[in-house]
Amino acid sequence: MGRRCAERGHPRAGLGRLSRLRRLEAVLGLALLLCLAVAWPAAARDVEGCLICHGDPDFVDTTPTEGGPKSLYVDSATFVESVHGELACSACHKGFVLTIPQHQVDVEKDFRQVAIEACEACHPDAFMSYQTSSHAKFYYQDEAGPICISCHGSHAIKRVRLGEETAEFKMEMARDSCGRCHEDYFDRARDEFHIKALNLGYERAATCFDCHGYHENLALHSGEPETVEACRQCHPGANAGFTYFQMHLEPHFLNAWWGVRAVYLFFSTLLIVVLVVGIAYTTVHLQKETRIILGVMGGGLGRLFGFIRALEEESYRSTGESDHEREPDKPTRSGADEEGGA
Amino acid sequence: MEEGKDYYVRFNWYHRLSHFVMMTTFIGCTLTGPPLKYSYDFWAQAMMNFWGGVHNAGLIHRVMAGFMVGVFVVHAIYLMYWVVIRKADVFGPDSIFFRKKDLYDLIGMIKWFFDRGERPRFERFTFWEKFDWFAVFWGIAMIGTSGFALWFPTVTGQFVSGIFLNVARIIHGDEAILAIGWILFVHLYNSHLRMNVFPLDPVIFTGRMPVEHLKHDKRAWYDRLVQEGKIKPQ
Ligand code: HEC
Ligand code: HEC
Ligand code: HEC
Ligand code: HEC
Ligand code: HEC
Ligand code: HEC
Ligand code: HEC
Repeated sequence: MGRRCAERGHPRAGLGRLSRLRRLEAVLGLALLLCLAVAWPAAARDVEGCLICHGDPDFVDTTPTEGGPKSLYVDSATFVESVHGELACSACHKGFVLTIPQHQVDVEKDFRQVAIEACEACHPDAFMSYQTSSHAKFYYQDEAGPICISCHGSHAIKRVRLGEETAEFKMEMARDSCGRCHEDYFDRARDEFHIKALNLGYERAATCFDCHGYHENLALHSGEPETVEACRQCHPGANAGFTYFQMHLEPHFLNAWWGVRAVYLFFSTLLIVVLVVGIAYTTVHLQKETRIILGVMGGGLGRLFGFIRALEEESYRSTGESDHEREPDKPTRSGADEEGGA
Repeated sequence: MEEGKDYYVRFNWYHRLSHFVMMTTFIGCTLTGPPLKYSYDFWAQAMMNFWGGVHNAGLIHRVMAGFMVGVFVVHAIYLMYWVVIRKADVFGPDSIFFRKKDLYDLIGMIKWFFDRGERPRFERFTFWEKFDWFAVFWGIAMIGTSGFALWFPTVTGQFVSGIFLNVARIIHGDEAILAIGWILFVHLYNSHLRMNVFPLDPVIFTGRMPVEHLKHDKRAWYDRLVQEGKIKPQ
């Protein structure tokens, strides 16, 4: 398709739109370019050539758009490190040929579609399985669905190691890729074992695409054969009943079966009631035996330490005194002692 | 402890060993489990790294849990032995089972707290000791069962719907927090921070309790032991 529009000029990228400084830079750049054009092999020339302008971090498109000024900067270091580091820019940017003084922009078509077509050309298998997904269906319907670059990014695509992904990668995928659009489902999954374990570096646990498939993005449903298959990758003994395990329950299980909510309510209440009663009882006990709590509140820590020392000295020395016979100020051992003396 | 004191052997080697194993395995599970539950908290990653990752922590957790359940099973057998073969008096003063006196003791304790009466005269086991003992039964039944269900999730799936795995996780987590909270705030206080034993009561490790202390703490038992001639009156 690149060829189709190649005759058309760069519509908006006239050097006139750039600031004076930029213009100077561009002119210098073009001069450099001319030299490069003669000396460098094609692919390298393409990359280096495009980066003369696009390698500048401050290079922005000032055309008013919805999202404000758009950065046209391409970080050459990350690009070279990416799997496509050896490719020419124009391998993907098909409409862009390094012509002088300005290159071509394909305005006929949405660049997203161009991107899919570019990816398709070199990755037909991936494209085919993507094509079966509801993501593709949704994209073709109204463009909100993800395309290759929504998940993979564009200039920093990393090598994929199927089955050997690190936990960081899986977590990043869940949080920043799938989770970016499926925030609700990520939020519901993050309190579940698999994602929690991933977060702590357990690479064997499942991330979104382990269960849903990374291009097919199956809509899983409990009890169905695809779901059983999905679980069987890691849980060989899985059967249909097993898949009724709910991966995406809301915090506090608001969307769960009533049984789950009942259990949650019961045990949370039990937890709170037992601990509150236990701690209250203990606190009163502590106060009775040591007078510490009110002591500290009233008399400061000095009394506490003095009291502990006194306690050590007194330990196991049976005294005939009771609380009342002591000087009122002196902390007492009370309780056990009273009885001892009795 | 001072020399020349009289001691009474309150816990025999079996009691001490059980408690020791229970304590170590409990600490082991406490240090390996919560980092997963609170995965997103700042300390979780550090703790997991300490164990060498989730996999190792999981392994330790399981070994610990195995021993803990082992203690539980042996204890069940031990109880059966006393009840069935030795025909021990289940609700007698030497028993750790709850009985009516415990309720009176509880009321007596509360009265004592507010200076409305004497400290109750406890028998061999105070009601809070009994409660701690009983809580282990409840805890192991709950945490242990749910833990095994999660350990072998597909086996669980063979018998019940997978939704019970969600249920199991709720129970496992909540009960664990309850147990940890109880041990930290109630059990540790009751057994080590009380006045007559502060700062640490070694009786559960040494088994030997100074008669002096016994007299203060468990007067009814003391009286009974003196009567039976098992200890010299102080
Ligand atoms: C002379 C400087 C210069 C060179 C060299 C250059 N570009 Fe551009 N490029 C621009 C300018 C200016 C724009 C902004 C165009 C606009 O938005 O109207 C732009 C925009 C683009 C865009 C984004 C269009 C958009 O709005 O999303 C792409 C993609 C692009 N260039 C790719 C390339 C490629 C590939 C090369 C090398 C073959 C290249 N450029 C070489 C100046 C340059
Ligand atoms: C693997 C294919 C691929 C290669 C190779 C590639 N690009 Fe891109 N590029 C894309 C895609 C896809 C987009 C659209 C990104 C988007 O819309 O988010 C894009 C967008 C751009 C843009 C628009 C600004 C932006 O970041 O969205 C510029 C400028 C650009 N590329 C320049 C380059 C330059 C210069 C090179 C060579 C160094 C290059 N590209 C190599 C795929 C590629
Ligand atoms: C000119 C052909 C070409 C184009 C266009 C292209 N790629 Fe690639 N892609 C490659 C090559 C070559 C590799 C490296 C494969 C290898 O080394 O195993 C690769 C690798 C990848 C990988 C890593 C695969 C792996 O097994 O590690 C991904 C992901 C990828 N490309 C995605 C994309 C996306 C998304 C696009 C569209 C924006 C795209 N590619 C466009 C040629 C291309
Ligand atoms: C919904 C997100 C998503 C979309 C959309 C998507 N991918 Fe992928 N892609 C992934 C994930 C996740 C992986 C696997 C990563 C892994 O397992 O490490 C992957 C793997 C790949 C691989 C390497 C594995 C293989 O099967 O060869 C290629 C190549 C690839 N994608 C290309 C594409 C292309 C081309 C498109 C667009 C037609 C595309 N992807 C669309 C998420 C996506
Ligand atoms: C660019 C945004 C975007 C990204 C990134 C994305 N999705 Fe989607 N996804 C969508 C949209 C939009 C739909 C369709 C909306 C709907 O049906 O509610 C969808 C639908 C789905 C569905 C339901 C399919 C059905 O038939 O109902 C699943 C499952 C899914 N995505 C999984 C994933 C996974 C897994 C990833 C990451 C590998 C991912 N998505 C990444 C936007 C995205
Ligand atoms: C352990 C496997 C597993 C993992 C990991 C997982 N899911 Fe799911 N997902 C399921 C199952 C099973 C269902 C269907 C039952 C349900 O709704 O709970 C589902 C349902 C969905 C749906 C709804 C599909 C529909 O029919 O509308 C979306 C969207 C989704 N998941 C997205 C995600 C995202 C995003 C992630 C990563 C954060 C993720 N899933 C991680 C198993 C998983
Ligand atoms: C990528 C591999 C993978 C996939 C796919 C996967 N799991 Fe898991 N799952 C694991 C691992 C690893 C564990 C931890 C096993 C262990 O250490 O006992 C686990 C544990 C579990 C547990 C126990 C959780 C807990 O809280 O302890 C359940 C339940 C579970 N998975 C359900 C599912 C279901 C349902 C599916 C399918 C929808 C599924 N898993 C898919 C890897 C996976």
